[in-house]
Amino acid sequence: MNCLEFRKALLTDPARQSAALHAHADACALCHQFGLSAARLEQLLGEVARSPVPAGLEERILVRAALHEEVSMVVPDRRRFLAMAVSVGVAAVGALAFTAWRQRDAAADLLVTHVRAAHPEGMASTSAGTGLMESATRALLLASGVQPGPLAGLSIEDAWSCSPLGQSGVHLKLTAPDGPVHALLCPGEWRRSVRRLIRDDMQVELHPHTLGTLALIAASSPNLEELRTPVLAAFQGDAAT
Amino acid sequence: MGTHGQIVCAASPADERRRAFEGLVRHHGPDLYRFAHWLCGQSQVAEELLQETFARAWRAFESLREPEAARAWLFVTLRCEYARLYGRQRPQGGDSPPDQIPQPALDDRPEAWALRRALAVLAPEYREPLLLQVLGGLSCDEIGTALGLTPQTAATHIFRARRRLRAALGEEPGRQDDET
Repeated sequence: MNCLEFRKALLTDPARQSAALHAHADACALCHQFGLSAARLEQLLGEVARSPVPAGLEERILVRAALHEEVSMVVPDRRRFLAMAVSVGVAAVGALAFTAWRQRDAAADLLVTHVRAAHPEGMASTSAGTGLMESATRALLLASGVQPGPLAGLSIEDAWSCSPLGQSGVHLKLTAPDGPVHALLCPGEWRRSVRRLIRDDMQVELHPHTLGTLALIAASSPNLEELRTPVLAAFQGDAAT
Repeated sequence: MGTHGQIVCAASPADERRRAFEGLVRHHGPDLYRFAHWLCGQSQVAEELLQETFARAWRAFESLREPEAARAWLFVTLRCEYARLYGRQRPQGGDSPPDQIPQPALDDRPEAWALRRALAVLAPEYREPLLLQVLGGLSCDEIGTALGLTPQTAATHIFRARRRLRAALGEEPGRQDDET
């Protein structure tokens, strides 16, 4: 070890003095003096750095830790309980919402399938006369418990009784410029708001009705827009929109 | 340290845990507070830093079984907490602006005053590793880890810090401390 290494070692980590360091200090008078001054600095540095601490510091820390412990022992139990309750609640609401959503989706799927199966030929119109179709429709609606609204403005191609969702309802096939629109009254399929979706390239609107659901299904969106109001009025004017 | 080590190692039931934690606070608290005070220059902030450090220690108490490791862990945690709260900027409005001497009970010896002043005006990059060594007893490896430096860089900063302090006391010719 030379003098430079000695001084470097002493100023870098004076607490860890090796045998080589002591040996060099014993052999070199200048470095011995340097070692003594470095030791004085270290002692003074320890005193200066170790300023007095405020009275009661440790007690304050311990009191706060004790408070923290009490809180952490109590609060987690409450938090755990609340978290569990919230989790169960959220899971239950989620399950109900998912079930309801699936049911509504399932209803739309069934109705679209029903519409396609009922008219596999591509929704071709029948050749029944207009007056006859109005009378038949009025009779079907009355038989289903619906007070018919104005039917004169509707171009009804076909009307029949069917039960795509279980309970017997009414199915009207209406003529529109870009293809037919189907209106299906599905009793017992309750809903609280209008739902619009697309299934199998078909526009589907599910409207709340006093008896259940009134479904409007068409391949073309403008057709639905055009016929929505008169159809809702025909299936009793008070069908909610 | 030996007694404290036994206390820490024996901690398992709740009472023992509390007792061991109390030992930890009493053993390391004062030097941690001093380090915090040198970092921030404010008694209030220093105590807050200390409280937060020990709150973390309480949460991580099971991992603090080795007393030496606990001391290093506490100093590093306090330094990290300070960096997290204040970055490289000292908190404002305290009892000691950064360019002034902190206010411990003053030692009126001229060399003590000169050294305290030199330490106070030392650049943080030199003062922090030096104090981690002097107050915390951390190795250069641990200091490097705490400050995001290599051990060699940490050692160099400590070397330069001591040379500047010696220069302030008239024991070094001046700032020829770029050599490592």
